[in-house]
Amino acid sequence: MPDQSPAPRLIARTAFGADHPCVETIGPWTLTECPNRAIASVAARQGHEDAVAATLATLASGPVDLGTLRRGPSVDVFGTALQQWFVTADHTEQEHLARTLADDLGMTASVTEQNDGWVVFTLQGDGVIRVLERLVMTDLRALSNGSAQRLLLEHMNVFLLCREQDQAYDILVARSFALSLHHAVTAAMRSVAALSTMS
Amino acid sequence: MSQINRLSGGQLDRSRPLTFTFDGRSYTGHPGDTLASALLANGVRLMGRSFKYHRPRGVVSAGSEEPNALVELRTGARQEPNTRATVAELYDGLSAQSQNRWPSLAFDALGVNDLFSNVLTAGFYYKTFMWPRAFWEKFYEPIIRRAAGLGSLSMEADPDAYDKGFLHCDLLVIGAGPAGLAAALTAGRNGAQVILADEDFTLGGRLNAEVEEIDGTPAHLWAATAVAELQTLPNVRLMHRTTVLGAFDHGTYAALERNADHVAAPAPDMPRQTLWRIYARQSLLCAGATERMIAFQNNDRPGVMMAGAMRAYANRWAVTAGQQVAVFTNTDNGHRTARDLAALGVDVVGVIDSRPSATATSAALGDYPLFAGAQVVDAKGKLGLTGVTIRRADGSTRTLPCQALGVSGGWNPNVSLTCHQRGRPVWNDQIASFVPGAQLPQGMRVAGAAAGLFSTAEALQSGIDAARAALEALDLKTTALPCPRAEDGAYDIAPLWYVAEGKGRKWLDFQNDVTVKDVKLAHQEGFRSVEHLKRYTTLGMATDQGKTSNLGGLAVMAEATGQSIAETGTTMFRPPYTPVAMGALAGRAAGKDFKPTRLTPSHHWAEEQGAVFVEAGLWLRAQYFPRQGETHWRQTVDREALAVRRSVGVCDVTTLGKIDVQGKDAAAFLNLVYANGFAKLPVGKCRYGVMLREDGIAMDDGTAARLAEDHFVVTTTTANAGPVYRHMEFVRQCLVPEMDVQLISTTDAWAQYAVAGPNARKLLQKLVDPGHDISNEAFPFMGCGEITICGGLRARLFRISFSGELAYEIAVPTRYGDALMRELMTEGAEFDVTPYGTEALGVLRIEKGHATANELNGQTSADHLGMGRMVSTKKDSIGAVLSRRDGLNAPEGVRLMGFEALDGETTLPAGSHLFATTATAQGASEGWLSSAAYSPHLGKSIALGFLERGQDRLGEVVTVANPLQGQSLKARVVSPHFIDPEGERLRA
Amino acid sequence: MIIPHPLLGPRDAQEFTYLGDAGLINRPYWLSEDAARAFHDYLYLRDNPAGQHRELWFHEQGDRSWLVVTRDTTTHEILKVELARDVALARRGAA
Repeated sequence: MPDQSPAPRLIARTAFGADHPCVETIGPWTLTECPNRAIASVAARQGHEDAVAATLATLASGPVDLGTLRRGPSVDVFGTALQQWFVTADHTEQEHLARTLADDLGMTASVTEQNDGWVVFTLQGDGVIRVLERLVMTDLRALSNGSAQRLLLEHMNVFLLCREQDQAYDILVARSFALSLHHAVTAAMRSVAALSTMS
Repeated sequence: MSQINRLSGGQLDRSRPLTFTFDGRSYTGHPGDTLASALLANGVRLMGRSFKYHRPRGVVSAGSEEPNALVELRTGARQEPNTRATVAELYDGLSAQSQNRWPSLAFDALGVNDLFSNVLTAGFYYKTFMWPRAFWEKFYEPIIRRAAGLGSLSMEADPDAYDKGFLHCDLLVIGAGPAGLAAALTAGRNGAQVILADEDFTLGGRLNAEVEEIDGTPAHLWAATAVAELQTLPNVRLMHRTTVLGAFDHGTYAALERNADHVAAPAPDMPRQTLWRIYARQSLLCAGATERMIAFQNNDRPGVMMAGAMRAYANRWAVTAGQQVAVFTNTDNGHRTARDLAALGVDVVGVIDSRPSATATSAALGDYPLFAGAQVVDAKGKLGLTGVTIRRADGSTRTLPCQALGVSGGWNPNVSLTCHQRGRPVWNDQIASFVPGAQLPQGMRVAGAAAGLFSTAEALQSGIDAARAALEALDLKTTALPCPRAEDGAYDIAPLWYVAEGKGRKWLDFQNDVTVKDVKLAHQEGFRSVEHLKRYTTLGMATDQGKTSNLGGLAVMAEATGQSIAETGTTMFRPPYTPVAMGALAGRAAGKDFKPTRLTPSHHWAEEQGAVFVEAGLWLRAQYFPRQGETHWRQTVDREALAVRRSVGVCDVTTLGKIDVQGKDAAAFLNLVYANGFAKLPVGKCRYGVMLREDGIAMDDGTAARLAEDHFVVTTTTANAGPVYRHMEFVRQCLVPEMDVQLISTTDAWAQYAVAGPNARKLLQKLVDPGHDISNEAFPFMGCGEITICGGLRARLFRISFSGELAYEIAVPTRYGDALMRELMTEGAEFDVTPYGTEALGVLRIEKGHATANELNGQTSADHLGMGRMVSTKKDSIGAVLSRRDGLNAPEGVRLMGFEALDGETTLPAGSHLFATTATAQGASEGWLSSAAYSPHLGKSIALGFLERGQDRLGEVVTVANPLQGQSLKARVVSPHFIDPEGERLRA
Repeated sequence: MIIPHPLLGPRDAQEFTYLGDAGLINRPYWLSEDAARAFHDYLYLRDNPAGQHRELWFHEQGDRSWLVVTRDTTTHEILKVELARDVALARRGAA
C-alpha cells in the first residue's frame, strides 16, 4: 500500500490481507481495490442542517444532495441519507480526515471515522452496465454521472457511485465483505465475458 | 435419405448436418431444427409415454405447451427430465432418451395400466389407497412412487452456473410475433427503452410458421427484416430464448433467458440460464394463442397433432409427420394446414370440417377432399396413426388412411400473464374462448392473438396502437407507423369440444391422461367447482399446466352442469408460465455462495496459524487454534481457556456490533434504549447495559462507552448488530424525532481484540505510547479512552471483561488489525500469550456467568436473567413498563443459575430440561440448560440454565433430562458465577 | 413490490424490512395512570385490515429511513409513503 503508516511498527494491510491492492481484469473490465481512501461520515445536528450543507458545499465545490456525488479539489462528497453525507479523500494525505472535519464542523455535525469501515472498489470498462445489471436492482441507465445510491449487491449493502455512466463506477462495501464482493463482481464479469463470445 | 419426412423449403441451414441420438439411435437434422422437428423429419412419431396409463404418445404441438413429447435431454450430471422436444434446439451431438417407459418406448411393461383403465379413473388414488391405512407407507406409496413421475433425475449435482439480473424499461413487449414486432418497432423508433422478449430462438412467432405476405414480402422475411432493424436500435434490447414467466406487483416481471441450452454444455464461466427481474413501466402482452384439441376416440394416437403445429412443421421446419395427412377442424383456420401441406407435395387425404356450412368456396383453400359437417370418430394405430374413421354429414362412415392428423378445435388466447395479478379472463363468443379481462397487471396492455385478434392485419395494427398508448401513458410523444398490409382472413369458429360418438376414451389432458369420461364422472360424484375438478381429475396439473387441455375440460363440465363455459369459469393461472429449473431460481446463491461471508481483520493471520473456523451469522470466526500434538478440540480449547486465566490471551472480537451514537441528546437517547441508566455515565467510562423489547423481554446486551459528552460507542452482540441498529433507528425516528441524535454503524471500521488475563496490562503496556497511563489507578475497570499505540497509531481502549479476568478490548483502524495481532503475539511471547477462539471465549464466559444469545433467546426477561434490578423505575425506557408485568417477575419464575455435573465429568447437554429429583414421570419441566461447557479451570462439566425459583434452590440436585439421547443426569444448582463472584480479578 | 420512497424514488421492496402497523409510532406515556394497560394495547392490539393499512417499513439496504407506507393489503397498491419521522413529528405537534 502506498500510504505511510503513522506507526511504523504496524503495517497496513488491504482487506485481502495483502500489501498491494487487488486488481482483476476480465474481458474489457477491471475491478480495482482502492485502499488509499480516507472516509468520514457526517451527519448534521438539529438546527445546523443548512450550515453543514454549506460547509460541505464549499469542500465539494457545489451543493451535495441526497443521492449525488460531487468532487471537490481535495475531497469527494456524496449524500447518503437525509442530512447525512460521506466524505472521501486520499488516505496518504488525509488519514485524519474525520478529525479534521470534526474540528471544522464543531458542534454542528456528528463526524465518524469510516476509513476502514468501507472498502472502495472501482469497476470500469466499456459497457460495464452489462456486468452491473447482473448484480444490482437499480435502473443503471437512469443512474447518471455523479449519482450515488445505497443498495443491495448480491445480499451485500453497498454504495454505488456513478463516475461515468456505463464506463466507471465506485462500489463501497463494508470491509469485512470485501472478499465476497470481489467474488460476486468477478463472477459477473466472467459471466458476461463468456456470454459475449456466443453469437 | 434418412430424413424421410423432410420437405422442401423451411428455415433451416441445410448446408450443415447435425447428428443426434434418441434412445441410442442416431439421426441427423439441421441447424434451425428442434428435437421434435428433427425426429419427425426422420419418421419418428412415437416420442413418449403418458403419466398414468403409459399410453404411447407423439408430439402434438410445435411450442412450449407440448404435453407429450417430453424427454430426458443430455446425459450424466446435465441430464434434465421432462424437456419438451418441441423447444429443445438441435445441436450436434444432442442425446435424448424417452422416459416413463420400461424396457423400451415401443414396449412398455406398465402399459398394462392401460388395460385397467376402468379402475384407474378420476380420483383413483383417493378412492383406492385410502384403506387399509397401514398399507400406505409400506405398500401403496412405494408402488406409486415407482410407477408415477415422468423423467428421472441424474442424482448428480448440477454442474452449471445460473445467473440472475435486473433490467428496466419503458416498455416490455412479451412475444415477438406480428403484434410484438410491430409494437417494438413503434416504441423503438419513437425512442423508448424497449425490451422485446420471446421464448423462441427465432423471433417472428407465427409469421415463421405461415405462408402469407406482409407488404408483399413473405411473412418470415418481413419478421427477419423487422428484427434486423430492431437490432440496430440502441434503445431496444432483443431477448431471444427468453420466457416471461410471471407478472408481479407494480410492473415487475420474471423472465428466464436460456443462454446455453442450445449447445451441448455452457462454455467455461458461461451461465446456463439467467433469471431476469424486469421492471417495466409499461408492458405489452403479445403472447399469441394456443391451438386446442377436439377430443374424440383415441385422439391421442402418435401422429394426431394440432393443425397449426402440423403447418408450422411444414412451413418452418420443412417436415411432415406423414406422407398422407388429414385435417379435422371447426374453423377456417384449419384449412390453411391442408393448403400448405398440399402445396408442399404432401398427400392431403381429406379435411374433415365439422361445420355443415363449410363449402369449397367459404373455407377450402386448395385442392383436397372436403368433408363438410363431418367428424372424426376414431383413430387407428397403436404406436403410430394409420388412419382415421370419419362420420360424414349423411351418416355414412369412411376410413381415411393417413399417418398424421392435424386437429384444430380453435385457438385460445394466451391470457396467462394477464391473470397473475388477480385478473380473470372473460368469455368471448366470437372466438369461443377466454380473452383477457379488464383487470390487468399494472401497466399491461394486450395485443394480437393474445387479445383474441387472430388475423395478421389485426395483430400488426393492435401492436402499433398498444405501443403508442403505452408510450403516451408515460408522457412520451409518438408518431404513428403505417400499418403494413397483411392477411385479414376470417376465422369463423363453430365450437366443437368433443365428438359424442364412440365409447372409447376421448383424451383431454394428454400428459395426465384425463378423458371426457373422467370429467363427467367427477361431475356425477358431485364436483362442481373447476378448482375441485382440476384437483380431483388432475386435469391441467401436468407440466403444461392445462395450456392444451383446460378449456376442453371446462367445456365438458359446463355441458354436464348445464351452465355456460363463462359461468363455469377457469382455474387460476399462476406463475411460472413454463417450467423452470430450480437452479435458475437459486442463481448464484448455491453452495458456499448461498450467503456472503464476512472476514475478521485477523482472518489471514489466523489461517496462517492453522485455526479452525466457525460460521457466526455471516462471519467466519476462529473457533480454536490447534497446536501440534493436540488430537482433540477439547485439548486445544482447555489450553486456550486456561492460558487466559493463568497469563494472557487474545481474541478477535471485531464481530461485535459497534454503533456510533452522537448528538446533544445522545445520553438521553441511550437512557431510553437501555433499561438501566446511562444519563449520568461519566466521560471515559463504559457501562454494561441491557436492552429490552417493548414487551419486556430482553433483546440484547453489551457495553456503551462514553468517549465525549455527546459521543458514545455502543456494542451489540454479533448476532444482533443489524436488529439492534434497526431498533435504535426506530426509536430515534419514530419515537423521539425531537431528539438530536445521530447513529451510524462502525463495526467494520475498527479491528477490536480482547486482551484478557492477569498479564493483559503488562502486555498492552508494551504497545501503548508513552503519555497514556493504563495503570489500574489511571485506567480502572470499566474505563475507556482514545489513546495511541506503537508510535502514534490512534486506538481505542476499553477496560471491559467477558472472561472475568483483568481484560481490555483494544481497537485500531481495521487496516492495522492484522499487524496489531502480530504485534500482540510478538510482544506477548514473554507471557506465553495465547490466541483463543470462540470456543474458549464461550468456556470463559460460562465460567463467569455472562449471558449471551443462548440466554437472551427471546423468552427471558431481565428478571429471569438475574438483572431485574437493573431495570430502572426512575425513568422511561423501552420495555420497562411491560417488564413489570407479573408474569415476567413472578418469584416462581425461572432464574439464570449455574449447574455442575454431580459426577464432575459427564457433559451436561445444552437444551436439556430440568426436573426436581422428586418429580414424577408426569411432572412438568422446571427449566432448561442454555449453555454448557467443560471448565478446565474448575475441572468439571458446568452449565448455565434457567430454573424455576432457582435463586432459592442453591445446592439442590436436579435431574437433567436429555430424552433425545436417552440421558438422565444429575446436576447441582450453584451460582452462575463459577469463578470470582466478587469480581476481584477483573478489577486487579 | 416497488415502494416509492419520498426521497429516493421507486425502490424494490427487497431493500426494506417490514415491521407492521404504523400505530407503533404512538407509544404511550410511561407515567400515564393506566400505563400497563396502554402499553398492552399499544403492543398487542393491532388492526390487520383487508384493505388500506398504514405500515412501517425500514429502508435497511438504502438510506436507513423508517417509512409509513399506506398500502392496500388486498391489491398491494401503495397509496401514500411518508417519512415516519415526519409522521412522528406531526403527531408531536398535534398533541
